Amino acid sequence: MGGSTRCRTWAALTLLMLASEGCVTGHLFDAALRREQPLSYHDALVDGDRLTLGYTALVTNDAGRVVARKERRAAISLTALHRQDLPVEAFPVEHLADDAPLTGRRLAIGAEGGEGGPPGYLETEAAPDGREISFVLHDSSGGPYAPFYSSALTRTSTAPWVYPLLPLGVAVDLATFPILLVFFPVMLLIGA
Amino acid sequence: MRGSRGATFQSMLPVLWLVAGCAAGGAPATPDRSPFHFPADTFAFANVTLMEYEIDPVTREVSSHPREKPPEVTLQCGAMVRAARQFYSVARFDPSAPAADAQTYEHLVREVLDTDPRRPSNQRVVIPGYHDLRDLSGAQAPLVKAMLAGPWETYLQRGNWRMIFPFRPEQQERVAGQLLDGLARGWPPIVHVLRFPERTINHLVLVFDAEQTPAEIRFHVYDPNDAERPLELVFDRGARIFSYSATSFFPGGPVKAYEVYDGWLY
Repeated sequence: MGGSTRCRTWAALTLLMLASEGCVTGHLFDAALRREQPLSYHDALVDGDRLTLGYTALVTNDAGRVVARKERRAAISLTALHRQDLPVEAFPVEHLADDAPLTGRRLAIGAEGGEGGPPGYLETEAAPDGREISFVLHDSSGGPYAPFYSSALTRTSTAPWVYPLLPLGVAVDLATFPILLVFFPVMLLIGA
Repeated sequence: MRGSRGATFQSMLPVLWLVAGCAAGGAPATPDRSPFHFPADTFAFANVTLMEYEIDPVTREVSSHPREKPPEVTLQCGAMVRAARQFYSVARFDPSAPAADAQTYEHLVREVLDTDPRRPSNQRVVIPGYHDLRDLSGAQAPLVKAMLAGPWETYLQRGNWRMIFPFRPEQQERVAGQLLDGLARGWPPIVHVLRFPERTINHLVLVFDAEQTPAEIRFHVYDPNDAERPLELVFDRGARIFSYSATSFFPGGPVKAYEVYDGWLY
């Protein structure tokens, strides 16, 4: 009885700790979280129903500090680009390999259209800090197109240094979780 | 054995609540009230940080030093946003009625502050002689300042337990949805904005409006540390992260956010 009860107690505690994402473990994962968002576009090609993009991405940590830059490629559907009502989280994006070939009709970027100008171009909009936060595709062969917001190209990843630290994080969480379970109702009782 | 399972289940309850996050409450709207309006529904004075901050314009590093004179209203962001929402919910101003004496105002302000800060109240407290909270708190500043709860109310805000746990992007997305729900119900949410374990910001603000674009949701907030202008808490739909405006003490940038004064857990 004593052994199996102890096992169950530890199993329940571990489950509880994991369910709460663990204070230390969770913050380790937060610290290792990386977000990539476009800084500037340098390639844009229309290939059938796809617009293929080459761009420089800023990699930031969870506190928003820049930790790296990467060259990325992605493709978006021109059909989706016709729709005005798609929020960025629902916009279909295909992230391509960094060395994926860029094929199709090349467009100018940031250029103005007009007589004698390019038949198609991306009109980009930059934030005060210089990040190109959106663009509108102008193309005589199709359109009009809705603005495309760069945050649709957001990628998240986890820095690999966090994994060797996980056993330590879990151990600290297991040790401190019972204290938190006591602290929690106390805070509810005395809290305003 | 049965008892042991029951005890395990009971011990899991707080965590189930924790995992569920700020479940949307069923608070009804305040039907006889127009939407929360800045500056009318806010205090004429500001909460002032205990320290004076300097932000490097290039590196955005923040340094601080003690103020020469301790501020009159400090560490009371929680008390101020809580009170602003209570006034919004309960107080009805009647500028056409003759102004009352200080004792009457003290009694009326006490009545407002004694109402439940977590849900709209059916109680109405008519405050004569002033147009709105901005007007009242400007003219009766010493009285109102004295009646606001002290820093303990912010330190011991019930929802503070949540701040030490991590906030994942999907949880932040749920918070953005809850804030929109609150605004749609006519109940301006109070939000704890933080960067724990960093100490660069640990602050309570009141959300009173939102603008949505395909890329982001711009929540307009009443920051009790700034009586002059509303600030913005922006949710990036793609990155699923909040960012807060630059202030005199914070350089601006990503923050975590969760709703407080919402239900018995927060």
